[in-house]
Parts: sequence; structure tokens; C-alpha cells
Amino acid sequence: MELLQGFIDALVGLFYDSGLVSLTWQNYVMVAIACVLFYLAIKKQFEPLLLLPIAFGMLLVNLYPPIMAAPSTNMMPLGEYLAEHIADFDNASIESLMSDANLQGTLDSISYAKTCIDGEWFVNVPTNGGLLYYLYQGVKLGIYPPLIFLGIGCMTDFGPLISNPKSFFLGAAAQIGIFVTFIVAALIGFTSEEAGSIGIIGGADGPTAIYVTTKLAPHLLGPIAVAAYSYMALVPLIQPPIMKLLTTKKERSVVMQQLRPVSKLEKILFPIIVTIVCSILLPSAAPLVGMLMLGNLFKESGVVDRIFKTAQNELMNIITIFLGVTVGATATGQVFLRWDTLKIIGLGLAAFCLGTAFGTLFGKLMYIFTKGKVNPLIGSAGVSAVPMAARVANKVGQQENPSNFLLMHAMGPNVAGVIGSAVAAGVLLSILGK
Amino acid sequence: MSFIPLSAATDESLVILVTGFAVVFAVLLLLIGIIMAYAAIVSGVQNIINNKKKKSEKASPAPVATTETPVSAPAVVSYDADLQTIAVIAAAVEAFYGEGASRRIKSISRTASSRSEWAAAGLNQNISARRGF
Repeated sequence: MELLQGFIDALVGLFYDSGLVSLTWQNYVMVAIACVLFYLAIKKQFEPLLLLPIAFGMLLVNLYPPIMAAPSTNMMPLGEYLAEHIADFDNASIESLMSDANLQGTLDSISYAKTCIDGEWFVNVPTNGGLLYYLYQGVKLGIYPPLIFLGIGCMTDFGPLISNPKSFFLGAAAQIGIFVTFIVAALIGFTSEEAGSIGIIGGADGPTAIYVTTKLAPHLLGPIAVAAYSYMALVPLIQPPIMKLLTTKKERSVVMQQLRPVSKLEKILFPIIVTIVCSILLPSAAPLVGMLMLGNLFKESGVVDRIFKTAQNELMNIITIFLGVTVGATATGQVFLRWDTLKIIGLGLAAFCLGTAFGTLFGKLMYIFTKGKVNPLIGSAGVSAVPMAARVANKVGQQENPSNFLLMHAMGPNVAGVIGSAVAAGVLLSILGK
Repeated sequence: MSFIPLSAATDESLVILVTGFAVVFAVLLLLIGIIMAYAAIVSGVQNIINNKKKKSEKASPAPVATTETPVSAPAVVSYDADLQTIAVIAAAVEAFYGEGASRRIKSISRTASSRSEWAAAGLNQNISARRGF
């Protein structure tokens, strides 16, 4: 009979420990959202490298919230503590240790902090945090995004930008969406820090959005990261209608002149000069721009092949896993399922569309000033999202003229957009950062 | 949805909009200037170096190479019999850059091959067979 009672008690204990009791309806909704993201990542292949870990982090934290729990201290009564930590104890020995004569010696022998409340002593026993809490420190302390930028720098060819430096204008124009959205977000009730974090979604640069949000509004990290990466994945769907709306058939058909070849010396000097200029003028942007340019210098110098390969492959992949899973793990039901999230997603879309529109319009301006030598479509690539946005510009151009190859021309504004969004992030951090 | 007073929000937001817009453009404009400047300097320096090389080549004819070319280094190969190939390459270069400025092809070199001797021999045999030699 005792065996049966013990079995039933164990089952009841397991039931109360299970998610069936502790999880709320918000957690189940988030599990469903995570499954939708799985579908988008696996079936539709929308940014799967990040969307898949994000979705899994979201799934994990909503099924087992303590996986993201911060370390804490458990106040344990002194007697209970001694009972757990003394071998072969009996009540008499514990009473002896807690007697007035021995109490001070007993307390001194315990390494943890002690607290006395109404004459009763407690030991502050530390408890460990969840696995993802520790991995999340890389996001919280702003470590992962610059390391991702290091890998991006290794994979980026700034040749088209060096060849045609005017592309920087397009990269800058596409950042206007960030600041316009900032105003709208501030007007509908978000604080300045939150509005800055929401606006940066318009830069279409996931690491930059995460970096700024962890510094300005860390409580919004989940919705902002999910929105930023979702829109980056949806570039081929979001951008073409805007590009077509703002340009004429004649403008889209412009065939641009071949870019001049760029010497190796120019490519080596570029990351050094950009780092010096940006770090002096805008120190807040130095971690992002600096790591981007360090990666690029690895690539262009050609003398550090081993670390170049590590930075663009192994390191980048490891950080991508940690970043994706832990950012996803910030999206708990209680945080994510709020009206603010819907507003953030809406504003993020607006920021992204505005960035595309301003980039394209500035492209039109360059088309006019150069008397038809610049195809305005390449302006849309100013919204970072490397290289997807450049590919979209190429594809839309080829719909009008199949023999027109805009890819390399669009890569200039595209990589300029990466630098531009990092500079915009630096501006926001300088003005709004505490 | 909670709205905050319009004037307070707009004042601060407009300051950030204008500052952000101006700083981003200013920094990138500065980078444009610097890139253009150093591109001009680099090409100028390279032109000077090239001119010096040309002068020194004219002054003293290049010594005839007597040492063996390392197997792994890209070797310049002379194909007297294969003028058609050179003509095709020249035409391709002309088509790529478009008509206009005159240009001169100084050398055509073959990059180092990673094929083994046996594989290279097999490939040559295959090409020759297709040409009907």
C-alpha cells in the first residue's frame, strides 16, 4: 500500500512540475507562432539561418521558462541549511551549532551571505540561471552583433562602392526611413529610446537592430528582432511593388556603365580609412563599423587566410546559433503578446517601406542629375539586407530588360547601406543612450 | 493607445530626425570625398610607378631568363601557332569594354593548373580529338 501511495505521490509531483500546470495560454500561442516561423524558415526558406534558431528559442522558452531564468539567491533557514550540509546530523548537533555559544563560529564557517530577520538566521544560497540566460549575456552585453559584423565584413566586397563612391548617397537616403519612423513611433506613445529601437528596423540590418535595442530598449528585443528578420526575409515581396510604383519603365530600363576595376591597395585602404573616420566622428558606431571593417581587412589583406576563414565560417556560424536562439528566447508569451508588439511590427514594416522608397527616390534624383546614367532601382538596395536587396534590384531591372545586369551596381548602395545603418545606429545611441 | 503631448514629442523627435539625417549624410559624404581622393592618389602613384618601369625597360632590355620557371607559378606561355585563340580573347576584351578608347593587350598568361600531368595530358588529347587534329 505504501508503494502505491508513493507511486501516486510521485505522479502528482510530476504533474505539478509539468508544463500542463505552469504554462499559460500565452505560452501556447507563442508555441503556435514558433511553428509558423518553422514553416516559413524550412518550407519557404525565409532567412532560415536565423529564423530557425529564433523560432526554436521561442519554442523552448515558452515550454520551459526557467531556461531563461536569471540566477538568484534562495534564503534558506540556517537550521535547514545545516541539515542539508552536515553529514550524519542529528537535531542535537544542529541545536548545538545554533546555540549562542557556537552561533558566531557556525556563521563564519558558511561562505554564503547570511541574513538575520527577527532574530532568525537565513543563508542566501545562490541558484544557477537557465542555460539560455548565460548565452543571452552575449546579446545583452552587445557582444554578438559586432561579431556577426566581423563575419559579414569577411564576406563583403566593397569594390563596387569604392568604384562608385556616390553609392554612399543611396545608402544614406535609405536610412531616412529610420528617422521618419522614429517620429511616428514617438507620436503614438513610445518613449524616445523605444522609438529609436523601432525605427532602426528600417535599416534592414538584424545585428544593428539587436545592438541598438539591447542598449536602448532591451524589453522590446523579442518583437524587434522577429520583426527585423521577418522583413529582411520578405525583401523580395515588399520591395518590388514600391520600386515599380516610384519609377517609370524608361528609368527601370537604364543600362549602367561598367564599373572601373578597383586596385588591391584601394581595397586594403578602405576599411582602415572608414574605421578611422567613423570612430572619430561617431564613437558609438565604432563597435559595429570597426568589426565590419576588421573582417573586411582580413579578407582584402590576403595575409591572414586562417583567421579570415574562421571569422566568416566557424565563428559566424557559432554566433549565429547563439544569437538566434537567445533572441528567440526573449519572446515569451507575456512579453510578446501585447498590443505594443503589433504596433512594433506595423511600424517596422513602415520603416522598411520608407527606407526602400527614399532610396529609390534618391536614385531617381541621381537619374535626373546624371542625365539618365543611373538606374533608380539600385537606390532600393540602400536598405542593407545584403545581398538580397541587390538581387531584388537586379531582378526588377531584368524584368524590363533581360540583358541588363544591375547586380554589381546595386551592391554599391547595398554595402553602403550596411555602413549607413551602423552610422544611423551610432547617431541614435549618441543622442538617446544614457 | 496612449498619445503623448504633440509638441513635446515633435520637438525632440524633429531634433533627432534632423540631426540623424544630417550626421548620416555628412559622414557618408565625407567618406565619398576621402574615397575619391585616395582613389586619385593611388591611381596617380601607380601611374608614376608604371611610367618608371616603362622607362627602365626601355633603358635596359630585359635580361633573357635562364632559370627554370617554378612549376607552381603562373607561367607566360607563347603559342605562336594559336593566334586564333589570341584573336578571340582580344575580341572578347573589346566586346566587354565596348568600342571607343584604344587599348593594347600586353600579355596573356595561363594561371597555374591544379591538374595532374596525367589529367592534363588526357584533357589535351580530348581537345585535340574534338578539333580533328
